[in-house]
Amino acid sequence: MRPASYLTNKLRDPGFWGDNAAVIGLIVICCIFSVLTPTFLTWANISDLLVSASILLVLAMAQQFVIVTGGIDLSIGSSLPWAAVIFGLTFNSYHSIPLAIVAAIVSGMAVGLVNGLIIAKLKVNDFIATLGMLGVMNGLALIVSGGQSFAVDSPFLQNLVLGSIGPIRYFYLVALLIAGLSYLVFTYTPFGTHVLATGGNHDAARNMGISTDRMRILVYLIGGGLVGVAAVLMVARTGGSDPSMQTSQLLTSIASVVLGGSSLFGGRAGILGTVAGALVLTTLLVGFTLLQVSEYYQPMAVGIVVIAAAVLSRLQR
Amino acid sequence: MKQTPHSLIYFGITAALVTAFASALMPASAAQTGSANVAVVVRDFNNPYWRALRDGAVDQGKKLGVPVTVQAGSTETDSIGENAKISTMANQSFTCFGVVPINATNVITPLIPVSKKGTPIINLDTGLDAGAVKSAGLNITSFIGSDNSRAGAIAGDYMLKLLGGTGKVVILLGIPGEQNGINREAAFRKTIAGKLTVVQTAVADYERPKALTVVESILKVHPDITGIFSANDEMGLGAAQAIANAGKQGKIKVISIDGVTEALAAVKSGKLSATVSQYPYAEGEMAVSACHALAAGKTIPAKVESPIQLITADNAGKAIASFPRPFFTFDNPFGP
Amino acid sequence: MNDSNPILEVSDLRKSFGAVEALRGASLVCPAGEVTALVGDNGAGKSTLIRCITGVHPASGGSIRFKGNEVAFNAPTEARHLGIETVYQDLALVEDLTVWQNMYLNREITHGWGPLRWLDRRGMIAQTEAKLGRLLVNMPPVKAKVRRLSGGQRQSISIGRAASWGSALVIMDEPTAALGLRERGAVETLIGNLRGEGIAQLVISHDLEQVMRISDSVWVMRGGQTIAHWRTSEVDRTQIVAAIAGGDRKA
Repeated sequence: MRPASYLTNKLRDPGFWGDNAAVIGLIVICCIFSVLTPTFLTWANISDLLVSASILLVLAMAQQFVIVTGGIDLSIGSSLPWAAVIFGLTFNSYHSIPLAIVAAIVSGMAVGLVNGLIIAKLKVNDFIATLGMLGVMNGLALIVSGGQSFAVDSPFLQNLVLGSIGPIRYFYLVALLIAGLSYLVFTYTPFGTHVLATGGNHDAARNMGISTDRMRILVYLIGGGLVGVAAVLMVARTGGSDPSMQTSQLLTSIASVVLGGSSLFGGRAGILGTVAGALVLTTLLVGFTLLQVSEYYQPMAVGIVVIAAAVLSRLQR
Repeated sequence: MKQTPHSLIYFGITAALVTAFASALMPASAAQTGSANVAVVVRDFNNPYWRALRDGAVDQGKKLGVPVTVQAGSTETDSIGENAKISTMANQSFTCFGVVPINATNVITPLIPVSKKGTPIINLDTGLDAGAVKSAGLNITSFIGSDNSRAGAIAGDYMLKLLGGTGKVVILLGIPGEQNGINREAAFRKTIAGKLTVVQTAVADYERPKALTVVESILKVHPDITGIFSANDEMGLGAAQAIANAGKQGKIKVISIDGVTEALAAVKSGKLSATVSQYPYAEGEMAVSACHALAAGKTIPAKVESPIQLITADNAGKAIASFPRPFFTFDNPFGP
Repeated sequence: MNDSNPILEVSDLRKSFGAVEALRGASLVCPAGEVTALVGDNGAGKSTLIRCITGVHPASGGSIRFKGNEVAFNAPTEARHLGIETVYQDLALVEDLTVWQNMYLNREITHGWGPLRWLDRRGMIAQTEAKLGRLLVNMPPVKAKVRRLSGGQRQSISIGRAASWGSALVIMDEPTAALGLRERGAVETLIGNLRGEGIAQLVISHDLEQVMRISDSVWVMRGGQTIAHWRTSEVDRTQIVAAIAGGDRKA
């Protein structure tokens, strides 16, 4: 088939629009903003936009793994500051960035492991289990940090935020690498297929001999590790660890995944869609800031776009 | 099939809506009315305290003919949102930045590109960690904010006066680790040390419903307390409500800090014993005045203290009448 | 007919769940290359018999011989290792995965070794096309998601998968119950093809017309026992119905 007719056939297929709702939405929104303000399409702005989206992107990847099995992780709202506290304390005590990074990732994985065990072995509903852990980790972060936020001073971290390799900033490079690795796992590893099967048809997966319990524990473990990575980014960007820094990114991370086309019931993993979803949400924030849209209208406009994208994704094949 | 998929219609509608919103809300004219163009970033617009700061900045901008843009994150702890606003605005043509941080360090790194361009940065309301600022190589031109330690001391003094120098009190804390709250509490404790006994300290995250629940429980455990010090008005009002519910209004004195409208009314009606009013409105005004002065080539002091005032039933009426402005004259380095 | 060493031979199988006797002496013979039908009313014990054969439950008494050797399965994986595959009523297909992904689910072909294995997608796609192409008349595109396939296609894929991995015995529970006329025909053709491959098939079916069409022998269960069995060519519908409902015994 000639490329031109292939493209027009694709464009006429509602399923194509539905499957790629987030990406299409992102392109449309970027076009609109570039028309409305000259600052939008500058490299400086795009670069800063990607930096602002990075932490959300990593959190969305963490949420993606869990959502694919039909689960959800509400605890990342607290395990993020928790891992940030562990990272900060480790660095301030030992002045070793590699050690601190490992500590952050391990502390995140510990939370993931507990979540996974409670859900898979104790058969507690994932919403409730992770909601409970949200509170537990909030308390633990406060206890371990003595209720105080503290500065983490590191030239490495500052370079992570502000430095770049060529035109690519390290900060979002980390996030994009994580997204790329997630894509590879889902598409090219047996583990990825097993996770998709566990979420898509739990009984079928079990009948085929997949240990669905193990899959569910592993995705929470991986998600927790990714939260640890996000915590490193967070400490770098905010210059310190704050046990109370409960960002509003919990819901946004879930929204990114769902916006990207993955069903909350599991079985689908649209990494590109999730990345686009996270970027859509950040782009709206940035675009409205540039346009000085009144803060009363910002949340409403974001909500409308989210609903529109969700309606569009109903056309998914 | 040649018919347009419904999806195109959906997108057309969405695109039209977004365009309509955006263009309808763009500033009326982009004419440069002065050489200053001020950016102010606060934590969020839910808290009336930051809304007052915004209003002060915007009003002063109108008075001086200086364009002022105020942006914020979405919650008291939304650092990602606040930092995104700063990063985005750093790419626009603002001549001066006024920033309220969430904690002692969270805005430092995102402000570095601003500093590198030579744009002056004014630290508002909550102080940044001086050491972290220095080692990051960030250039902060000035700090404008109220002295939260002094506010805590004023509250302590008045509590001593109300309780006759002796008694049991409870302290309500805001978000753990938040610097202003820490300063207020520390100063209060220092002032009452040796005279009043703190029987319990409780955290209520600066929120009214949480404070209400917490105080209800406290009253059962410590029915003999005579005073509650609250790190902010929202919690103070919650405490006052719990006391009223328990029928102990008047028997337990409640002093809080902030000076929001509802608190002033509560002081007038007697529900709240006193509040230490901080004037975020004045902070916002002074921030814009400072930027205006800088644009005119003047220098500004490195630290500007914004006024605070003890509000009791005596002066509550006056305070309400001139809210959000102070009803007294204060030391304003930028003019009357 | 070659009846030396049938693939499966069940003799007087018993199974109790506490006080409840689900099987009170069930027997079955499944010769290679033949379709054996298992019929009976609801509650007759057909499903329990299948579960004992496939290793979901261990039997309480009696014997199961596989290719002449006595076996006792403790887990479904043991049965699978010997080449016994089941096509479940819900088909055990993951809708959001493709045909080839379902084909190779938990049996993926990979490159590399240890934890650093990655999928040999091209290999699996090619193999699936080959295996299913041999068995199915109307093969759906191997890269299509199962969600896009019709009921009959899904049934065929599920049977095809079981037949590919199940080298010895494929067990099917009501394979065409939910299908329309044409799709039923396609599935029955597939069953016919599998006979040609020498695979033994055990089919549970309520559709006696179908039983008459496709099976070589038919076994009737009632009340946890096998009460009758015939070569299909030597029996007619009314006799089978009578046996199911509770009529004369006929050896």
